[in-house]
Amino acid sequence: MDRPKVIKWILFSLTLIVCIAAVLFYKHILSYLVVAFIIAYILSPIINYVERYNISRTVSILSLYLILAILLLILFNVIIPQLIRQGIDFSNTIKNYLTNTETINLQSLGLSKLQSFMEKIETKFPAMNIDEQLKSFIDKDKINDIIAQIPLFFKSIVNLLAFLIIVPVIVFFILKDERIFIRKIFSSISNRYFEFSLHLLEEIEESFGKFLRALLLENFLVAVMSIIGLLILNIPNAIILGLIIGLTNPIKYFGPFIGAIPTFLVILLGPTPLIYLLYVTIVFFIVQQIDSLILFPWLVGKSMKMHPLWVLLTVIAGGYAFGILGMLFAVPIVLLIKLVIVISHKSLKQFEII
Amino acid sequence: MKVRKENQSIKNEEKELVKFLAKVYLFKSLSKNERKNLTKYIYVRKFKKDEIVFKKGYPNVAFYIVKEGHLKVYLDESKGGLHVNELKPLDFFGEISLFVEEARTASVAAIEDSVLLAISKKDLEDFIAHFPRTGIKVLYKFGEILCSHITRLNQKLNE
Repeated sequence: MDRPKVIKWILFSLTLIVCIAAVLFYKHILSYLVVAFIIAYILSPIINYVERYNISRTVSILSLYLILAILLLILFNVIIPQLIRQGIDFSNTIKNYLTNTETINLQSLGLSKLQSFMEKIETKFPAMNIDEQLKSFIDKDKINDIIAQIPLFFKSIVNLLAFLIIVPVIVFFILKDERIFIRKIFSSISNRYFEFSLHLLEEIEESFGKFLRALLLENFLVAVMSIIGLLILNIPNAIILGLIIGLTNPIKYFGPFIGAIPTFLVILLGPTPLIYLLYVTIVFFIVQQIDSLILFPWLVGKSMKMHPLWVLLTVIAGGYAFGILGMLFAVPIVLLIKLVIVISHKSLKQFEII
Repeated sequence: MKVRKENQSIKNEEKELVKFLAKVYLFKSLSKNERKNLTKYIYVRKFKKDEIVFKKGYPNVAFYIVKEGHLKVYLDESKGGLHVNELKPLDFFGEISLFVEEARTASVAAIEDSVLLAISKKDLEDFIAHFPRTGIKVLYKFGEILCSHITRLNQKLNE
């Protein structure tokens, strides 16, 4: 090894150590940074758009904050109370049900036909004690536990406050000096990789933005359609139920079923006639067909195709690793990683780096 | 104290860049303020002798203005490098990249140490969107230059 190489090696390891130290030092802030980056990423098109009308970034960011604050206020004062009322309503229905009925069986769930069918099966296969199993499945204590855990969420309210103060500050600086940051990074890239990295960023930015915006819009539209359908059917708590469907919709294959469970429970346990189960199923089926046949191909595009088996495995793996959130984000994240790899590979080839 | 000096030098560099842009034919019709806005979209890149700026077949990403130095445009390296053109200060190249999606049509390398001003396609689009009046002036100049190329080539064909 000649001398410059040794120096290069030393410099490289020093840089690595500094980077690791920085990560360790900032690790508590890391989650803030990630959230701030995501928020800044979503907001930056708005700021960039407004800048075209010769409004300074500082002014536009601050006014955007003001607008968001007003929207949040409205949200907290009008929509959230309604949601909470609907939510309490919903949990009360279940709670009432659990306290009023001594035994839970299929009969009490109002599915007498199913009950008789099950009984027929049970007489044939006495080993299957379905009623018992159902009882242990819908355990009163278990559900009470889940309800009791809600206050735990609010215990972390101090953390939440720190979060709510720090994140907007970070977002502000990212949004304000976005271009300076990017230029600094590009200025320090060597000539060989300068055009390559410009190209890579452009391509990734374009397809990332397209994909994320399309995904958001798709699920938002699914939620809206479900809410409208439920409102037409006059199902109680329509808004919260529709939102749940919109939230679980990105989970491929399983999502629509998971999202439909609360609605079915509301109908089963509430005063709504049982025939509405059929109507709701039809509505959900139509919404799903519109989503998968029109919205997804139109918005997200065919380029984002994954083999169904791969999708299935990804969703299951995500669920094992990170629970319901894992199921929700597994497929989009895998798709984004795939996108980055494909684009990087193409660019590296085009610039003859590999 | 040191920081201030550094800031001073950055400011001087910026002023020099604004002055230089006035000499570039493309930006001749811009006011000083407009040129100042433009500097925020320009990367100053330093190339050593024999360093390659881009090769034929690379994607179109940016166009360059020569600030200092000397560069050559060539077609095929393996066949001894067919010389097409030489670039001196105030020349610019890669302008096709701004209008066409396709790949580079020739390679460019530095003959001596050079300083180039790079404007990426996306940055120019951003610039035009932010400052449409200035953008129109720049685009008109582009049109003028490209048209003069066409007429010159037509004359050559007629001869």
